[in-house]
Formats: sequence, structure tokens, C-alpha cells
Amino acid sequence: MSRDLRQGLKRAAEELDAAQPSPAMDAKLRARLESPPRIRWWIPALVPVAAAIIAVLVFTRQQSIGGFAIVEQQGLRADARDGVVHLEQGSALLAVKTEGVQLRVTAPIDLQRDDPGARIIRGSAEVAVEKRHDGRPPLRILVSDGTIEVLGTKFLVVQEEGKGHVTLHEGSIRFVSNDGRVRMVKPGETLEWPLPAEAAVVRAPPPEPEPVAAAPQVPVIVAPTPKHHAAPAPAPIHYVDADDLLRQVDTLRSRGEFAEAVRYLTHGLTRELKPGTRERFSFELGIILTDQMHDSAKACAHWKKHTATYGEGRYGVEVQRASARAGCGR
Amino acid sequence: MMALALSVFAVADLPEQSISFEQCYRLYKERVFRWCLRYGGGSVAWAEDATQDVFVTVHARLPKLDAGRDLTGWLYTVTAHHAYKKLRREGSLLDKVLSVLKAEPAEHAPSPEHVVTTTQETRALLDAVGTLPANERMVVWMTLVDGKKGVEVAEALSISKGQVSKLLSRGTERLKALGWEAGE
Repeated sequence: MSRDLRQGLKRAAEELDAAQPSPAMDAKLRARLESPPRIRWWIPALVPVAAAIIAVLVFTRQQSIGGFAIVEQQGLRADARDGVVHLEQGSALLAVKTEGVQLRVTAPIDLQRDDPGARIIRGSAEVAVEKRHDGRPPLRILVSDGTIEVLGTKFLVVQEEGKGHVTLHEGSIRFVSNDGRVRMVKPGETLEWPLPAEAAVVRAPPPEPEPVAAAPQVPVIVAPTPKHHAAPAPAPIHYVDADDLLRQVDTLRSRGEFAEAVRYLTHGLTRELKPGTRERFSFELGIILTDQMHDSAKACAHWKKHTATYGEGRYGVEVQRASARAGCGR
Repeated sequence: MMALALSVFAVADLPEQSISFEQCYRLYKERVFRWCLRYGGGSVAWAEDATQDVFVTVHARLPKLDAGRDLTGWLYTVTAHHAYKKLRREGSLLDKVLSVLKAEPAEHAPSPEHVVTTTQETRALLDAVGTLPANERMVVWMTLVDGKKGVEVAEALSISKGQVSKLLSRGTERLKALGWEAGE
């Protein structure tokens, strides 16, 4: 028997043509023609439901500007050009929901989305950041002389012409200046930028410098920073968990001990970790090599390995940017 | 049966110069029913429902129809349009919800005896065509069996001519995947 579609359909049509409608069809049709037009009962029932849905959509629909959702606003007059939001008048609560950040801003202010976070070009903003979950990169608020890295906190940023400050209300933030210096800010403290020149001085070398650097506990892929005259014998690394290790790394970075921070992260990477945490360690390691140690060769080697392991991963865009900063592929 | 049909529609209030509804029904009901039977995959109940829909429209439009005109072409278009609407409606979520709310009695659901008896081969093909989306199913029947041109199918189904070609090619591809040879 042929399985030809056209022939099969024609045969089917011929077979169906032998069928006859039942006498009941005539009676049913008569009933339909004689009965008054049928009212679809569910249409009136749907009207209030549709009205309620529309009302909810209208009232809950948030406006947005320059990539920020406008959560609240008062007398706001603003525009966005080339991605820069310019508030002329009024105040607003802006949000980047995917990043869990809210900025309470009052005109005049110019700001811009810069994932993950925002760039304050001019003006002041009260920033509230939801706690970053394990594995997410720190949220970054960019200002003229550096980056405020946030793991979940509230703070006020004021950016003026060529200078500014941040006052931390709660949580913890880390300020990474454009020249790679890192400062931790505690609640109640205010940090001003640009950082004073003396702040560039790295703390005194360790009390008993060893003439020859001992081998690190685990393979370290970077050399000690030029700021250190000689590397101390590697101290034992103690930490409670991944968060604790990251906190210690932050502290080391704030002191300018980048090689030691690298050693901690490298050590951490030899341990059993959740995939997200492992990626975060690797990412932080790459950032230190790129932006703080400025070791292009090692940074590029690291980013190559990172990309091979995690692909786009959680930090795809940031890794691309960091690779560009390190001059990889030139 | 025909006598019943004639008496049923004798009440139709139509102008003298128009074709009477009963004439129209007598002339075309079986043809419309058979077209509907194809689109409904051989389900008699489905075809009868669709046929009624078509003649309700005929009843409403009859005063405007030309008594001397052959209505076959017009009825073909109206039937295809109604069958397509019905198939689409049945596939919609709203219709599924409404059928649950209405809690239709079991006798409305098609039963084996309400399906036309066919050869096994034809049944297999009708089942295969029944898996196609409503638009592809209609285009396959209208083009491959009735030999309608793209523009005619497009007009009946209120879609574009380009869409007809796409739907036909998609539908035949699906049927090819089920083991049917599409040929030229």
C-alpha cells in the first residue's frame, strides 16, 4: 500500500464522502435558529477580571529611565541621553532589580548604568544594595577616582568635580582607586577621593624579612609585588569558610599585600568548593593580577584558563573587560 | 430525512426573489457536512456541529445572496472559515477552561461510533493529519485534496498567501516525518 500523502488524502476524502449526517443535525439546527441569539455568559464574567488585570498592570507598571526602573519619584524632571540619566528636578528611587540595588537620588545628578551597578558622574546618591549571594560578583559603583565594591550595604556617595566621598551607613564596602589602591570602609566612616598621595605608601615590610623567599605552600602563579622587597616565609593560611577567606583577601588587598592575597586565593582554589565559589575565587584572583599587580602576562594566562574552565560563566562581561585592561590578545 | 429538513425550515422568513433557506440547506448540507468531516478528522459529531455553524451563517446572510448564483464556492469558503475557527478555538486554553466550567455531558464527547469507519490506512492518515496545528491541517486539506490556490486558501482562512506556502510546507514536513511521502 502506497504511503503517498496526496493519494492517501484523496482516498480518505472518498471514504469520508460516503458518510451521511444524522437526522438529529436538522433538529439541532432548527433549535439554534429558533432560539434567541446565544449570549456568551462568560463574556460579562470576564469583564471585571480583565478590568482588574488592566488596573493592576497600570498601577504596578514601573517607568524606567536609562536602564533604571523608577520605583518612586517626586516632581521628577529627567532625561536620558547616550545612556546618561540627567535629573534636572525632583527626586527618585531608581533600581536595577537584577542587581538588587536601589539609588535614592535628588537633582541635580548625572548617573549611568554600568553593570553590575552604576556610575555616578555628578551629584549624590543614597545607595542600598541587597546582600550579594554566594558567587555573585560585588556590585560596583563607579566614581571619578575609583570603584566602590559592595557586597550588601547602605551608603551615601557624593561625586563632585574631580573629587567626592562615600559615607557608609551599614555593611562593608571596599574602595578600589584607579591606581589600584584598596581601602576598606567601616560603618560610620567617610572615605574621600582622590586618595591622598601618602596613602599610596605601602605599609612597612614585615618585621623579619627573610633574604630568600621560601616556596609557597601551594603553587602560586604570580611573583611578589614590586612593593615588597622580599617575600616573607609563607605563613600558614587559616580560614573558617569561603566567606572568611574572601574577607581576609579583602583585608590583604586593602593593605596592598596583593601577592599574599593571590596566595590565599590560590590556596583556596586547591580546596573542595562549590562551583560558584570556585569561579568567584578565580575571578578575584584574575582581578588582582590585572588591576592591582598589573602583571599582564600572568593575568592573561589566568583569564585564558578561567575562560576555558568557566566559559561565559557568571562574570563573562567583567572577564572580557579585565582581559582588555590587561592587554590580552594584543 | 429530507422531508424533515424541508418542514423544519419552511418558517424561514425570506424575500421572494431570494433562494429559500430550505432550498439552500437541501442542496448543500451534505456537501458542507463532508467538507467538515475532513477537517474534523472523520468525527461525525464535530462535522455536524461545524455544519450547523455554517448554516447559521447562511441563514443570516441569505437575504443578500443572489438566487441564481451557484453557492458552492461561497459555501466552501464559509465552511473552511468556520472549521478553522472551530479548530483554533478547541485548541485554545480558554476553550479548555470553559469546557471544564460547562462540564459538558459525556455524550457530547466523540465516541468510536461517532467516527466514520475507514480503512486502517485512512484512519492512520486522518490521525496523523489530526496532530497538525489547525492552520496547517486546513491548508493541507484545501491545497492537496481540493486543489485550491494559495490566494483562495489565504482568503478563506484570513491569512497571507505567503503564510499559506509556509504552512503547507511545514505541514507536509511533519507528515513526512510520520512516514508519508509528500511527492511533488
